[in-house]
Amino acid sequence: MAAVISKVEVICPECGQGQSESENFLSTVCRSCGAYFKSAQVMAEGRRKVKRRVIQKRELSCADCGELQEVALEAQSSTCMACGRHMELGHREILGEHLGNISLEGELRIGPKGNYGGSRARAARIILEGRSSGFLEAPEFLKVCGQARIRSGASGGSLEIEAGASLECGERLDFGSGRIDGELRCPVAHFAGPLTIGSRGTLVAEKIQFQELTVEPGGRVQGWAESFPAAP
Amino acid sequence: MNSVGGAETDSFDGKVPEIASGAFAIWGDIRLARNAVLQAKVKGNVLAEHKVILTPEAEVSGRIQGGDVCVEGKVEGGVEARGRVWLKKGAVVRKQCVAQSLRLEAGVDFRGELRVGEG
Repeated sequence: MAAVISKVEVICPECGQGQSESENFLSTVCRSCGAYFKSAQVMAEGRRKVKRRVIQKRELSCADCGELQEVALEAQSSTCMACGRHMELGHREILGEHLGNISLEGELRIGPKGNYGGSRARAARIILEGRSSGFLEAPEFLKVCGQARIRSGASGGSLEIEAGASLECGERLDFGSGRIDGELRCPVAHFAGPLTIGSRGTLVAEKIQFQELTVEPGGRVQGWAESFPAAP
Repeated sequence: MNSVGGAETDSFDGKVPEIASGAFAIWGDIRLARNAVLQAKVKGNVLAEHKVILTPEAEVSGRIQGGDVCVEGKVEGGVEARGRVWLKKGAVVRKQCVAQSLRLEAGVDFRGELRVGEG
């Protein structure tokens, strides 16, 4: 949390009007009579230093160069110290049409009527309920909650499709792991790690690649499949 | 076509007879009437009415059909099960895998058509 600056009540030496100022203020203008006065004039004990609380920080890596850096927990943006890339740290929600690329370190939610029309959107976490024409990149996870469609592909850490949700993807999906309780249809589904199809899940793809696969009773899979060889 | 009897158990973990344990091969299709563990090399198909387990030494050039199928060995012609298929680490399966549910462990070499949960 960012430090909270303490305020002090000061009295204008000219008109006697009180007003609130930062405890570290050097000088100010009276909001009533406009008189300029210094803190030494009104604070008998003089100006004293305020000890600010330690700002909590978090660590994140630049999406372009991978450089690790610390930013304040509440910061909404930052700049990579290594490559100068601007990083947007907050969250964003698309409820209508959105054009242009997005690069977030936070969460991107594309609502049920949302349509991402840019060419590439990157966010640590993406929750997809609507449509996307552009490529989606979610290093942490891409969660599909509604009847979603991606015209191009997507990649990221894990792909989660909730029960009752569906995702139709026009190009290759490339994820570390997957959990499908809804329906997924795509040309190529590539999972570098484990893939689980839940009892209400369906996966239909021309090509399915995985390291490990579990299809629970009731789950459906259809396509040409290939497993990766075991790591040495 | 050969016909080989089976066991009293209905579990993979239980005692089941070993079919052709030892290093010899069978030419032709074999039919397993009950649960069985297969350790031989089979140049043909394996048609099991119930559960069948292929040990790591087993190799089947054709396909395996059965109720539940567990594979640790090599199957060239695919696996078709009315129930569950379990492909364990080290298994090699080609051509196809048809089942109602599937567990494919890391370290399995599978390449082929996959149809799970149909019908």
